[in-house]
Amino acid sequence: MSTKTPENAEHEDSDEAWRRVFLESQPTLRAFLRRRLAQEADVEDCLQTVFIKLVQRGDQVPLVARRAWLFRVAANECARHWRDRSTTNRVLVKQATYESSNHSDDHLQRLVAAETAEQLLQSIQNLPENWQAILRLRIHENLTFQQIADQLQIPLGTALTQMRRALQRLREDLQPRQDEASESERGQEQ
Amino acid sequence: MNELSNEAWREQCLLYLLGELPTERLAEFEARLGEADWFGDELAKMAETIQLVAEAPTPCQASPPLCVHDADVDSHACLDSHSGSSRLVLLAITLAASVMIAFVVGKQTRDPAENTVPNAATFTEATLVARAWAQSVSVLQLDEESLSEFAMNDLVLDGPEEFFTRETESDADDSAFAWIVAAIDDGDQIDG
Repeated sequence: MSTKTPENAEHEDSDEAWRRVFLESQPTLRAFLRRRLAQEADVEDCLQTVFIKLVQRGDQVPLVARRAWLFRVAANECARHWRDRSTTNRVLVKQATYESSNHSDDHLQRLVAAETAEQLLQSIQNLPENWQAILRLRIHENLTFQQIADQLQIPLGTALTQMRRALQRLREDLQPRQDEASESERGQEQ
Repeated sequence: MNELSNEAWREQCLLYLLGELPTERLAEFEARLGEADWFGDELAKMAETIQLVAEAPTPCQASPPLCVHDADVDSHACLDSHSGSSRLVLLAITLAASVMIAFVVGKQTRDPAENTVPNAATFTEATLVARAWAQSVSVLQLDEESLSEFAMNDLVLDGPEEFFTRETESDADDSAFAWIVAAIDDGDQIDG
């Protein structure tokens, strides 16, 4: 039995909002995972892992990116599943060295994340100003595309297209760094 | 079902991830996910990019000119963040100034008696007598020849007498030593 006090009301509201996002996204997540994983049991395991990570780290995710976060974690879990399966004979070695390597892995990940954030910021500043405005209004101000179109006095389709192109440009800018990070991660796992 | 172009499907991904995909298109969207690998990849990549952008520092913090460029909402948000930090600085300065004023005022209004150096009257009489005796002894040149003479002299009677004479000349308020003078006089009379 839980009581809702002013101190934990915000957390409970946040938990409730997270639960709603997860339940709404679950059918699409399942469809996404079924295409990537061979067996239904793996799909369920992966969904369970996503939910556990949501409980563990969900409060750090910005409101606007919650659904995106779920799909990112699901995609990473799929990749991990296939990596683990293809390297079953290395799992025991990895487990044995996990304790010693965990600290440096975390440190490396933090460094990569910091560099990625820095480069991302630079890439955002290199975008055309109207793309930057749409990106900021949608992601950081959490306005809908319709509200953005009204505010900037542009058609709804234009707002949507410019947002998509901005994200595409950022992804292209970040791709080499993300490839390097993936290679580094694979190297450490092996 | 596949009437939309790839660009249009990408925009559907964007709308879905940001929670703006209309409910009536959801079934079609899920079906598309189940039949096209590239679509799932696109969804995953877009999800990653959106999350990175959402977790990155806002362009407003990183590039002030961008704040000026846009809507009133943004300018207001920037103004709020700047005024918040300057409010903290002002608070810290006010606090430091308050502490300094309290220290200065407190020092000035403290009892003046506490600030003065203790005068001779506050010393005990015993201390004064001991100091006078030590002074009288230290002025003597003690060598082997004069040591026997020194031992024969009555320094106890000579020293303080000389000291009290000096003190009474220099200090008008000698009433505190009156009893000592009286005692020495009495001693002379008894000896004599």
